[in-house]
Amino acid sequence: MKGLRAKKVVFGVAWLVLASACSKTPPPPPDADDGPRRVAVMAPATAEILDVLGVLDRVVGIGQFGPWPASIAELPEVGGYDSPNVERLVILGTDVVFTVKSEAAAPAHRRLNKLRVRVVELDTSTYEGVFNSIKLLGDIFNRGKMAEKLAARMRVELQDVERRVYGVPRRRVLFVIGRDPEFVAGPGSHLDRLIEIAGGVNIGQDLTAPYQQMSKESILERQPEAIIDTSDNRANSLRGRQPGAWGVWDFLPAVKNNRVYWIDPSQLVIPGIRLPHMAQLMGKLIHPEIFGEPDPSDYLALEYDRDGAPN
Amino acid sequence: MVHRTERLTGRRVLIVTLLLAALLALCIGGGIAFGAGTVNFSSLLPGGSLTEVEHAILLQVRLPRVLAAGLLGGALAVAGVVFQALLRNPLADPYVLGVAGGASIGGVVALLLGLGSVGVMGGAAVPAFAFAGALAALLLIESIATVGGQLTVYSILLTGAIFNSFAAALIYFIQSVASLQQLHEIVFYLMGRVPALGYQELAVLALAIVIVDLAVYTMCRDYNALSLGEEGAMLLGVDVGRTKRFTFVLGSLLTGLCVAVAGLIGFVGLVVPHMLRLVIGPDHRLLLPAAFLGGASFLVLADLAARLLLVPNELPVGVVTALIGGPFFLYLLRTRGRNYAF
Repeated sequence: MKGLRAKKVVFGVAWLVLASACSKTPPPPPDADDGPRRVAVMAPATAEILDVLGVLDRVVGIGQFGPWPASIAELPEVGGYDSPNVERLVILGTDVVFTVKSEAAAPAHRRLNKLRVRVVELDTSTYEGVFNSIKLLGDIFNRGKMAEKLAARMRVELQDVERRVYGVPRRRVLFVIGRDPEFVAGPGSHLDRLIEIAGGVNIGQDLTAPYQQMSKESILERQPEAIIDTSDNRANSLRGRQPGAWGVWDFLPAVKNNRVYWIDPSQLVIPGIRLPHMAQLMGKLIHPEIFGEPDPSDYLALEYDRDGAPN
Repeated sequence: MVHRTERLTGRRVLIVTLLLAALLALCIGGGIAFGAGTVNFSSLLPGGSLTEVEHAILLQVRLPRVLAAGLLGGALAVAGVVFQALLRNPLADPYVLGVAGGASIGGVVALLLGLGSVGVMGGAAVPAFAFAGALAALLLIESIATVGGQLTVYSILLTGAIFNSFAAALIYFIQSVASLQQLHEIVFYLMGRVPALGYQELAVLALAIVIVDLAVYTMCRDYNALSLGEEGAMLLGVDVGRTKRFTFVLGSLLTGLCVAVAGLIGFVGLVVPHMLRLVIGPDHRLLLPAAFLGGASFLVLADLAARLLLVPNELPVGVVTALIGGPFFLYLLRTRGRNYAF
C-alpha cells in the first residue's frame, strides 16, 4: 500500500517536471520566416519532402509508418492518420502536425487547433497532391525556391519518361492492390496517372474510386498485357517477374508475354518525391524493351538510403 | 392459396419440391447466362466454339461461383430453419449460437499469421482454421451450456450470444494490431462473399452439406413436435434432449462450413425460412427441403445482382441479400402474414 502511494507520488512529480518542461519549450520564434521549429509528420511522403527541404531535424514525432527515413525512425509515435494522439503531440511541444485529411480525425484536429497545435492536412496520396504539398511545405518553411527546384526537377524527370513512350502503342495494365477479391488501381489514383505516363492504359480506369474491387470476369475480358501485383507485403512472399497465381489464366497476354510482376507495395504505392522513380519503374514493367529490365532490388521492400547521402 | 391447416400430402411435398427445384434451375440458368464479361452463347451451338476467354469466364469463374452460391445459400437456409426450430425463436439465424464467432476467430487468426496467401496448404489454410475454430466453439458452448446434463434453450442462447460478443471483441483487437494489408483481407473475409472455389473444393463442400442436411432431415418430425414446446414434444414421444443436442451440433456444422469458406453472408439464414413458412407453411417435412432449394435460389440470385449492378465493380453479396430480401420479406409478411405459423 505504502509502495503504491510512493510510486504515485514519484509518477506525479515526473509528470509535473515533464509538463513544466513542455511549457518551457520555446514558442515559435518571432522570426517566423524560418517556419515551425517542432513538427510531427504522419505520412512518410511528407517526411521525405521535409528531408529534401533540409528541415527533417525539426521532426519530433512520427505517425505509424515504416522504418524510413532512418534518422527519424526512433522518434516517438504520435498515432495514425485517423487517430492522432493529442496528448503526446502536446507533451512533445509540437507546433505543426502534417497529416492527411481524415473525417475520423476531425474532432482531434479541432482539439489540436484549440491547443495551439496547427494541423496541416496534406494530400500526398495523389499525383497533383504531391506537387501541391511540396509547394505548401516550401511556403511554410520559407523555402519556396528549394521547393520549386524540387518540383521542377521531378516534372522534368516525369516528362522524360513520357517522352520515351511517345507514339509507342499503349499496353493494357492491371495494377493489383489486393486479391481474392481483386482490388485494383482505379481513376484518380497516382498509379492510374503513372501507368499513363509510362505508356500504359489502366484497365480499371472506368471504376468509380481510386482503389476499388474489380470483377474477375471483367479483368479476364479486358486482357491485360501487363499485370503488376502488389497484393502481398510479406517479406517472404513471391517476388519478381513470373506468372505466380496469374498463371492459371494462361491465355492472358500478360501471362503469355511474361509481363506479370510481383512487387513489394512500398515500391509503388506511397507517392511523394519518388514519383519520377516510380514512373521509371512503371516504364520498366510495362515497356521493358524501352526502359530495360527492372533490377532485382526493384521488386523488394524499399530501403531508405538517402540518410547521410549528399543532397 | 395454401393454408397452414392444410394437411401435408405426399403429392403436395412432391409438387412444391419440384416447383422450387424448377425455380432453382431457373436461377442457376440466369446466374450462368449473365455476368460482367460477355459470352457469346451462340458459339455453344454445334459448329461454334467458345474463345479461350469465354471458356475461362464461363467454366472457371462463373459456373463454380454459381454452384458455390447455391450450396451456401441452401446450407444457410437449412441452418436457419434448424436453429429457429431448436430455439423456438423467430429471430434465430445461423450465426446466433456462437459457432460463427468461433469460425471468424479461426479465419482471422489464419489471415493474421499470413496463411491467406496462395500456396500455403493450397490456399485452404483459412477455411481449415475457421472450421477448426467453429468446432472448438461448438464444443466449448455445448459444454458450458449443458446444465445438469441438459441443454436448455436459454443456456445455449445466452452462451452463444455472449461467445459471439467475445469473438467480436477479439476480432476488433486483432484488427487494431493488423497491418493495412491484413486489415483489407480480414474485412473482406468477414463481410462475406461467394468465394472462388475449384471444382474439387466444391465437391467436398457439396458432400459435407448433403450429409449434414440428410441427417437433419431425419429429425423433421421431431421439429414439428418441438413447435408444441418441449413438454408437448415429450408427450409425443420425442427424445427432446437428444434432438436438441443433435440439432445444435448439425446446425453448427452447417454454419461452420459456410463461415469457413464464405465468411458471414447475412440475412439468407434468417429470412428464407420465414419466407417459406409464409408460402408453404411450417411443416418441417416440407420446410427443410424447401429451405435448401429456396435458400440456394435466393443466394444465386443475390450474387448475380451483386456481380451485375456495378460492373466492372462488384458489390458485397450481403448488401444485396438484405437490400432485396428485406423489402421482399416485408411484402410477403403484409400480404400473407395472416397465414403465418411458426
